[in-house]
This record gives sequence, structure tokens and C-alpha cells, in this order.
Amino acid sequence: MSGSFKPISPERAEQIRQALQRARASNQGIAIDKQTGQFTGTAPLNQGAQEKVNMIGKFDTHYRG
Amino acid sequence: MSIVSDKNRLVLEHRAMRERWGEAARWCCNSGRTVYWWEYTVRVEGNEFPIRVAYPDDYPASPPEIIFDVELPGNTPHVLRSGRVALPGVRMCWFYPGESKRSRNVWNPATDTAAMAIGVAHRWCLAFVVWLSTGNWPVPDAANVVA
Repeated sequence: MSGSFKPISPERAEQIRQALQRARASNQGIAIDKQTGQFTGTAPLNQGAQEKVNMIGKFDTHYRG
Repeated sequence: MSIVSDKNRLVLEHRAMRERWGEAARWCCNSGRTVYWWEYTVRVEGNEFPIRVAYPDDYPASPPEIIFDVELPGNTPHVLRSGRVALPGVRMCWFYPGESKRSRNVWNPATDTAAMAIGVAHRWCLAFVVWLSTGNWPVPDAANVVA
């Protein structure tokens, strides 16, 4: 399957970039709405059971292949 | 040894997957029943990433492979072009073998499951969308991180 990916606005990209770095520095999770796929912010990992939110707080460094 | 030969682990994997991702994850195997994986579609910021979370033979000593079932741009960083599991597709480069200094990024066979790998995939795909839009990967490279 060939991918056709849609970019996001520079403002949205910057918002997400800052959140990803903030989450890594504070060991927080990334929250993504399960229904819409929209990034909604960061949150403590103990809130991971919230409905519609995916919490990811590990493997926050990416490696070069 | 296949994941299905360890019944306790198999139960643990299925329970964790259903608790975290519900029915959105689909259990699959090849025709010879030698390779097992989960299919899932990561949805992030208006984009969809079909993935397979596949079990290597030495699982859980080694983490699962996260394999894209969609073609990524050829210059996508943080991917591996091949892997050990006999499935086609580019692999997400999400851990570093032998990593010992950054405990958050070490695969723990006792507690981590394929369900967690899908969570990891969400973070990676979010970073990918930022990279696609700006040309810069928003998460530090391992080489640039101070342990």
C-alpha cells in the first residue's frame, strides 16, 4: 500500500514538537484521542486509563537505523 | 520458539492487547502458522499508519518488530529496511539493542508486551507527521541525547 500522508500546519507542528520534548523531559505520556487521532496534549501516566486517550510514556528516544 | 508455544505468555499478550486497544487490534498468522502478529491502524493528525506488531522467534527476550504496512517516503528517518521476522515492510526503529543507560527505553521482557509497542507507535507516528511537515524530527536522536 502506497502512503499518502497529509502534513500539518507549522503552528500545529511546533505545538506537537514542544509537547513531545516536554513529555520526554518530564516523563509524561502523550495523549491522542482514539476517535479522531488528534493529539490532545501531555498528561501524567497514571491517567492512562482515561477513555479516548492513548498514554505512551516509554521509548521516547528514536534511534537511527 | 514461537509465541504460541508459551501459553501463559500468549494469554498475557492477548489480555494486555484487549485491555488497552480493544478490538481495534487483530490477531494474525501466516498460512504455515510460523509467524504471528497483530494488525492495527495508528491514526494521528489526519493520517493513518497500518502496522503489524510481529513476534520474533526469541520473544519476549527480544521486543516485537513494528512493521509498516504502508509505504513511507524513501528518506524517512528512524526506520530499518529489514528485520528478523519473515514479513515484508519497513520497521520502526524504536529501541536500541543493548541499551542500558536510559531505562525508559529498555525493553523489559517481564512487563512489556506488544500492546505497549502500539503505544510506542503512536508516539513515533506523531513525530513522523511533524517531520513530514517541517523536515525536522522532533524527538532527540540517540546520538544527541545525554544519558
